[in-house]
Amino acid sequence: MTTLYKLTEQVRSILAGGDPDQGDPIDMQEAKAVVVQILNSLLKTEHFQVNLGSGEMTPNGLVLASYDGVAVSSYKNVAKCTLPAIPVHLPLNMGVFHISKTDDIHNPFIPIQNGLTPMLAAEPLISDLLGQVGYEVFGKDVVFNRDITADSPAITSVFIRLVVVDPANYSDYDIVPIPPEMEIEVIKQAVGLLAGQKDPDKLDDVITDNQKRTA
Amino acid sequence: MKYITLDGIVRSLLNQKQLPIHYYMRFLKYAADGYRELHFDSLKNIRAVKLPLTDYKAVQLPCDFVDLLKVGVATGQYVQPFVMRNGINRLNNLDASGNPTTYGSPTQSTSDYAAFGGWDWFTNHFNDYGEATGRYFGLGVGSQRDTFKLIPERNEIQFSEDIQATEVILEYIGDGTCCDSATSIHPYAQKAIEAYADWMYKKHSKSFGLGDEQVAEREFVNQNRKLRARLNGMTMEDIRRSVDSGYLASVKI
Repeated sequence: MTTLYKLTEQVRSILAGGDPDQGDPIDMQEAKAVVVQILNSLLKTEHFQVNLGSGEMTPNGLVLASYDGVAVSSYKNVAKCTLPAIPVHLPLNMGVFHISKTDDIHNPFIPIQNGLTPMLAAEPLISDLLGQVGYEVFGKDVVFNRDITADSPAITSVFIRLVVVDPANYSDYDIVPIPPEMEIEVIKQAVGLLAGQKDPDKLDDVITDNQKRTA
Repeated sequence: MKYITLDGIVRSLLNQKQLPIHYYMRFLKYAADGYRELHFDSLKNIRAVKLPLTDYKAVQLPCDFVDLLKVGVATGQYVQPFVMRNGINRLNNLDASGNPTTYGSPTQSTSDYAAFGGWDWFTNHFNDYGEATGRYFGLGVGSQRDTFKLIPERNEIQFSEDIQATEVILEYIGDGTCCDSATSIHPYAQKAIEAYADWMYKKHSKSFGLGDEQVAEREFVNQNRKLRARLNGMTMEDIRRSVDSGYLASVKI
């Protein structure tokens, strides 16, 4: 079990060869951003190597971030909403793992592969998806197959689960839901990425450092 | 009667294969195709409708019509079937306004053969007491009025213009794509539809080889065979009745 702050601190300690001082060139926020990026990269790698390798298609539940009350708006003759974060890219858009009504999370909407809605409309038996709501993902937009804001009752917000580690969801002291065996790999890769930083100036001058950063 | 739904079949299949909901759309398409295919031979979605005849003695085929089983007129609780006659003209006769109309009885100048529309009333077939005496020598039964022809290019069934009925009963095989088909699937068909969807999934996926596809196809053939066996309602009594119908009472000497 670890937190983002703890992981970042470990990375900085290794790079500094001990406790990092005030003049340490590796900024806490910069290191944390790198740690999050490595985490998402490892999640995708794990899915392909561990899950798919054993024949399992479903992403690990640890890596699912939940977002409730995502607003839905009317869009042309259908409806759409905006993804709160960009998920890991997986086959069949599995990065967008689940979308449903906020009060009925056990009945997910049906994901449709991009561009297949017109083909679906030509199928006499299943053109309306048997009455269910379907959606396609285009970039950061989720477009539904009908205007769900005009349904009765209207659906004006949805519950979304994404395959992503979103730093906005975790404070410095929240436990990050990553497998323990992944922690050391995150630290190794972060250290490897950040090890090539320039040597700091001999003089410990905070004002000059800040001027350099803003220049 | 208990039915299952197409949605239930697809979710059952996803559950078996431990696939997430992202595969639902794909398997729904395969299952719908399998359901349609099974309708033509095994499930045989038989539908019956009563259709009015047009002025020119034809009926419009229903939108989900695939193949004809029987067409006839209601006779009490039974349906007296009509017989196919290939000689009926496939073309409509049009009036001056371009609307279809009947051909009417052919005259000597417009036909090579006189039409046998029926038989005439001759008084020498009845005695003074009004009893029929027979003597209809040469009368044949090959020329009947109760005939029809299926004309797909017109989307119609054309009947003989001599029939007096105003409505006919049509029994036909539908394609199973009417509005309630997806929620009214015979439970016997579930395994066959699942096997078909699995076969199509393996056929169209690069993750499976030819051998996997062929095994899946054989499984579908097997399940279809079981489906037909389950739906075959023949009993021992049916066989005995069929054999017994060949025995008739005769004069005992």
